Amino acid sequence: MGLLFGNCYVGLDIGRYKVEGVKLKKKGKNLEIVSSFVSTYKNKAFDGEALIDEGEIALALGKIKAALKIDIEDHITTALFPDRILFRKLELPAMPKDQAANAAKFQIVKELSISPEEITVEIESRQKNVSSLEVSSFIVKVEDISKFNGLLFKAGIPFPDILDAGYFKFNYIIKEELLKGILFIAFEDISSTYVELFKDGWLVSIDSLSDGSEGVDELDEESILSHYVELTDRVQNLTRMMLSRYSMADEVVDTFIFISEKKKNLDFWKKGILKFDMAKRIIPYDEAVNVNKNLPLAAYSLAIRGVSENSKGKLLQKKSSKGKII
Amino acid sequence: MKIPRVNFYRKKVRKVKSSKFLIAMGIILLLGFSFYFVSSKMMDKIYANALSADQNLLNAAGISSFSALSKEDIQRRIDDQIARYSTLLNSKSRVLSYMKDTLEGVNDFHYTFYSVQNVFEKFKSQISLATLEYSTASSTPIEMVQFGLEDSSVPLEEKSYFEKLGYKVQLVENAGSKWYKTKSEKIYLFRREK
Repeated sequence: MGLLFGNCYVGLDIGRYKVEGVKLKKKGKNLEIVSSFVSTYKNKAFDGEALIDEGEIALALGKIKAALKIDIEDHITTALFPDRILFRKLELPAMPKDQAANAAKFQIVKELSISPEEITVEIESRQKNVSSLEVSSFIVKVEDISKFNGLLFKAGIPFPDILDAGYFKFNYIIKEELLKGILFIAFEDISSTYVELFKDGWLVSIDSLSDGSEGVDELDEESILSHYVELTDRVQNLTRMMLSRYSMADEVVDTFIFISEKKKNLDFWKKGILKFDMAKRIIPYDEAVNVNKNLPLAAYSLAIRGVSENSKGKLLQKKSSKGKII
Repeated sequence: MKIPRVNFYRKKVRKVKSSKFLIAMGIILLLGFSFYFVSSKMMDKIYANALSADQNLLNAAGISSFSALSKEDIQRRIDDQIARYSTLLNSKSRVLSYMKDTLEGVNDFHYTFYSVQNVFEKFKSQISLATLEYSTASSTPIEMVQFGLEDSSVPLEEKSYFEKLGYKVQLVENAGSKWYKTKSEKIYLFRREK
């Protein structure tokens, strides 16, 4: 596979303020960082979560393409904007996992009164008890995927091999030990903050707050700090609600990891989160990973996902020949 | 620990650089042809080896046990050699035929000659042999023999004698002479006019 298709893996993080890219090369068991690049938008590309200037993103992507020398053989992993993804928890009768995907889609189509051709549904499922499955489903409009791929196309970048969910883009390089027990990851996007709740690696739920990093830069330092103190409070309340909703109110949260779409805001959040008392460990994202902090971490994380799924000679299909979900 | 991994877009085809594609195609073709040639040679060697039981034939055709020749060449050489053997056998067979005819002709001749000699014994001084014209199969190189002439006045007895020996005898009048013509050999007996 590597001999024919090449062994370079590109992680592309198309963010709200910039595009980041990392190119990795697999040499046997070793991984080499070939190049990385960050291209900040000169003009505002998003107003809130609404994309207002596609050209700005295409321009930044073009610079990334040139800097990383992306070619048609590179495995590309990127992530869709989080606000374009609908998360839904379902409970289905026990069935093989490939059938569960179809059943979940059928149920969602019925609930949303939408045509099955208009949406793509991805699921993660696990056995809840003998007779039922616990299913986390992620729903995206096909139109949004086409628009997203259109941004890559405009920049002359091949369509992605993996199109991830935006709020998962940081997760693949988090230290293994931090994934044990109950884990919260809070990701401050442009106008929302997403909170993911994991239990031993299993995604229990995702929820969000309507508060993000947009406009924070324009504030003075004190106001920025106060923004993060307030955000921390809101996140803390949300985590309590989530634990309660999933009957985990009595359980102790082991780890809380926080990330901001604006890297430099993380320092303010570190100060603002001192009052957070929900978890045993409170760790800023850049300390939760074993990577050079100067790298574009989300892009690196996505590239690592690409490596882990493609470098073993696997094809990109999620389903193996036995019909089990990998 | 397995954290969730979703993929909203399934790439249908994976592309490769055209230069790499051409190289890959070249390698595939090269491997294909190499395999063909190697397996073909191997088959030829196995074929040649399988034929080695008839070593004399192979040696005569110029084929060693592990020949570098192709299967087609080996077959052609064997066919040619068999054709040569066949020609040789034909010619030997023809010689044997000649020999058989000759031996048979000589035998017949001796029998005829013996018969004529008996006639002479029986009809002493009455007849004499003018010509013994002896013909056999065309392949038999037997020459004619001539005898001297004697008188005879009992043509009918002579005739009946030859008939007893299995000859068909016909009395021929020719220029004052009487001739007896037999079936396959011609024995001309000349009777002098008294």
